[in-house]
Amino acid sequence: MAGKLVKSAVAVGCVASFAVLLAPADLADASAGRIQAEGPKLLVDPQNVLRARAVAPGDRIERTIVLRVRGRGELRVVALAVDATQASLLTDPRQGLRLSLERCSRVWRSPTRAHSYRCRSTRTRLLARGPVLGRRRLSLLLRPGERAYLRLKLRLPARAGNALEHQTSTLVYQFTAATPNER
Amino acid sequence: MGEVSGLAIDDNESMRLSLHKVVVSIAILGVAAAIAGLGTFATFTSTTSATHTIASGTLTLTAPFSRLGTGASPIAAGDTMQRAIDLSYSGSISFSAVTLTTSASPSSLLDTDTTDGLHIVIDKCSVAWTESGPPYTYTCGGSTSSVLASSAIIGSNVALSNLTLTAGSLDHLRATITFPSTAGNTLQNQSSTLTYAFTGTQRAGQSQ
Repeated sequence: MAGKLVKSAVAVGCVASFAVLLAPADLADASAGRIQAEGPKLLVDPQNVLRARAVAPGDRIERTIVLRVRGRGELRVVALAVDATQASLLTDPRQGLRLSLERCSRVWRSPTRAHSYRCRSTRTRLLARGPVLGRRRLSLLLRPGERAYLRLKLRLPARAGNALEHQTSTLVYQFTAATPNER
Repeated sequence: MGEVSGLAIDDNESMRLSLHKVVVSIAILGVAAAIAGLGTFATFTSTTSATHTIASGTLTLTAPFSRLGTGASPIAAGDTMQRAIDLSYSGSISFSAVTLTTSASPSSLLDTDTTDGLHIVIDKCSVAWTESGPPYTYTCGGSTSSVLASSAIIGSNVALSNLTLTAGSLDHLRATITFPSTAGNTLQNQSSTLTYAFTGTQRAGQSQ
């Protein structure tokens, strides 16, 4: 009798653990006997942001990107990390590029052919201007099917000197998202 | 026996208590495992990234052709000297302005006398000046425009007009230096070595 109780308790413990494991996951291919936990994925478009050439001190580089969720469930974008696969003085924290990030509730529009974008709806500043490299916290909830229209704004300070001529940097913008913890 | 029986009863109770403890412990372990599962697996993460290459340009002002280094001696009041220079905006960034600063070392009345000393005029030709000489003189086969009106030869950051200033382009300039006919005898036997410094400033910041 005691033995059954012990087994039952163990079984209950194990079932609870599996239940927790699988609760937030999609079950894919279950009919084939395979169990795969797959959460929603964060996607960015485009993955290769249009290059900026012949940048001069005082120039503004504006690019728009779109974040969206693939799969079921919502995601909270919690961080943006900017790294340089090709570093140069352009990423110098004191005199190099500075980055800010804004969101528009609708698609960013460019009234001219130049890369200058306007938000005709609600604009939210996500990151204040600061040195381009580094990791920053974000809080941006994305529901399934929802898109976040973002504008990356880089500026090379007007005080940048001749040392920043003829420099090239390749930046990587990495957004990290997590499923919101509802418990 | 009663004692034995009593002992037996006590043993059974003790065993039940122990089993109860074991069950409770296992249950607690199960709940703990579940809670641990909550903490570990309740959040899925996903990352995505985009790459972006940014290249700064160059601001380069050169003089691929210049006769400004060619001296003139001896000169008399009323003489003019023409010298050509090409300014090349050879970098990838355009200019907003170019200024001229002239200095003299050694110096003499030729450059310090702002009335009767040397004066300079700069013109631009839409095509290369046609040179003849020496002594050098130039004619323009295209259209001319004024870059600098008559000024004393020494000046600091003097603005130049009508320059192209576009990256990759070239301006064909002609400097005409005049020794005024009003110059008196005090300007005889004077000698100055002039340095011409053209300084360019980049265009204003813009959206890229």
